[in-house]
Amino acid sequence: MTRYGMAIDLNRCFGCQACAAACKVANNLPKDLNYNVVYTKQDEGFDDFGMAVAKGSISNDCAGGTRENPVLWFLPVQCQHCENPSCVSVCPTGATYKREDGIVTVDDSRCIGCRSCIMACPYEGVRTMIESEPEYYLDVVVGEADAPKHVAGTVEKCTFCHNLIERGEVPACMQLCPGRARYWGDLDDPESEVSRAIEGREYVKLREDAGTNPNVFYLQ
Amino acid sequence: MISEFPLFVFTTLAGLSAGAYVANAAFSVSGCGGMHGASAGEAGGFGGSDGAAEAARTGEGGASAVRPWLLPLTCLALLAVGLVFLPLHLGHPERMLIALTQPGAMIAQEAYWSAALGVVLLVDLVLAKAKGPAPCALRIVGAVAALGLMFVMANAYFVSAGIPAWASWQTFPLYFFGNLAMGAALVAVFENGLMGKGGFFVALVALAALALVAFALEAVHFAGVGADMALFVIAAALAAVAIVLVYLTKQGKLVLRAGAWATFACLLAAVACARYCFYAACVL
Repeated sequence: MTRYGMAIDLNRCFGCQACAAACKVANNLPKDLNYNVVYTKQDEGFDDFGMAVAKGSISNDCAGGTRENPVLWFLPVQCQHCENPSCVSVCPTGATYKREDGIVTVDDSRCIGCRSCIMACPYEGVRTMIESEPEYYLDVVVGEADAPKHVAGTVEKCTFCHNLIERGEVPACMQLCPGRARYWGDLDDPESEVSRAIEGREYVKLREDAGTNPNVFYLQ
Repeated sequence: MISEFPLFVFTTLAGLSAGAYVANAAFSVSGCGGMHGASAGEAGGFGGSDGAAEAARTGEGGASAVRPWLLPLTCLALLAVGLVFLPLHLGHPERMLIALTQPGAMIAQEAYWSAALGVVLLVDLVLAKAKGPAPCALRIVGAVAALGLMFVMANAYFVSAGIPAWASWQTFPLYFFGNLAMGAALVAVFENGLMGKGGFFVALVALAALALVAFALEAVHFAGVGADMALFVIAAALAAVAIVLVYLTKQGKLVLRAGAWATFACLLAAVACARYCFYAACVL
C-alpha cells in the first residue's frame, strides 16, 4: 500500500528558499499564504522552528551562538502528513481527511473555517486561514493549471502537490532544490528514493511527543 | 479586539447558563414539583405550588419562588444569545450544519450538549409556567447536560496542541469552577434569601475560592509558556472580593439583595477577565 513521505537532509539544506519559492509559484499562492517555510535556526534544538521572513522576521540569515561558536542551520517546515493527524480527528465537517496514499488534505468545499485544525496541529504555522478574498502579487495566474483554488474563509496547507504526483511528477519543492536535500516517495516501498535516503541515517521527527507520527523525516 | 471574541461571548454566556442551572438543581431554589416537592421544601427550598404560595405570602423566597419560570427563561436566553455568537468565528457559518454530522469534532459536541441543555431549559420553562416548579428529575437531567457542556467546552481547548497556553489540565478547573461560581451567584440574585443560608453560603464561598485558585493556576501556566497573564491576576482579585462580599452579606452587613447582585457582578467580571485573557493567547 502506498504511503507517501518525505525526507529532508538538514546537512544538505543551505536555506536558499528555492523550495518555498517553487511551492509558492506552482500552487499560485496568494499573499500571506505559505505552504512551505524555511526557518533559520540559531540554536541546536527542534523545540521551536526559528525565524523566517515569511513569518515576519527581518532577515533569513542571521547566525546565533557566539563569535567563536556561531550556530546557523535551516529547517524547512510544511505539513508533516502525519500517520495520526490531530487535525483530522478534530475537523467538524470532514473537510480535513487522510487519503489512502497517506496525504492529509483539505476539501475547501466542506471547510467551515473554524480553525480547529490549526489549533489542534502541533506544528505551528503549517496551516493558514484565508480570512478574506485572496490577494496576489501578480495580476496573472501562475503555476500549475490544476493548482489548488484559494477560497476565502477556508484553511489551506501543503498538499504534497498531489496534483503533480497523480501524473507521475514529484512535489514542486523537490524539483528546484539546488542542494538536493529532499527525498520523496513511498515509505512502504524499500526501493523508493525516500526509503533509501532514510535507511541507516539518524533522523528526527518534529514534536514526536504529540503522538502524531509525522511522515516527514529530518536527516541529521 | 481578540480574534476569538465570538468564542469568548459563547463560553461566558453559555457557561453562565450552565453554571446557574447546575446550582439551581443542587439547591432546588424554587422547590421541585412532582413527588420530590416535599423533600425539596425541607431542604430549604419551597415545595411545589404550596411553597410558591407561601413564598408569595411571606415575601421571603425571592423571584424564583414566586416566578419559577424566571430562572429557566434567563438561562435559556443566555444560552441562546451565546449560541448566536458561536458561528460568528467561522469562515463559512452557512456550512455549520455540516459540522453536526461529525460527532467526534469539538464544535459538534458543543452543539449537541448545548441542544440537550436547551431542550431541558425549554421543558423546565414550559412546566414552570404551566404547573409551577419542574420535577427534580428534570433538573438533574439538565444539570448533567450542563456539566457535559462545561466539559466539552474545556476539552475543546485542552486538545488544541497548537496553542500551548490552552493545551493544559488547568483549562478544566478554569472552565468548571468559573462557570459554577458565577452560576451560583446568579441563582442567588433570583433567590436573595439563599445568601443568608448556611449551606449555600459555604458552597458559594467554596466555588468562588476554587475559581480564584483556578485563575491563579492558569496565570502560573500562562507565565510558564510566555503568554500574557495579567487579566488572570485581576480575575483572581475579583474572585477574592466576591468572597468578602458573600461573607459581609451573611454577616448582615450588606442587604441580601445588594449583596447578591454585587457578588454576581464581581464573579461575572472575574470570569470575563479570565476568559478574555485565555482567548487572547490565541494568535492564528
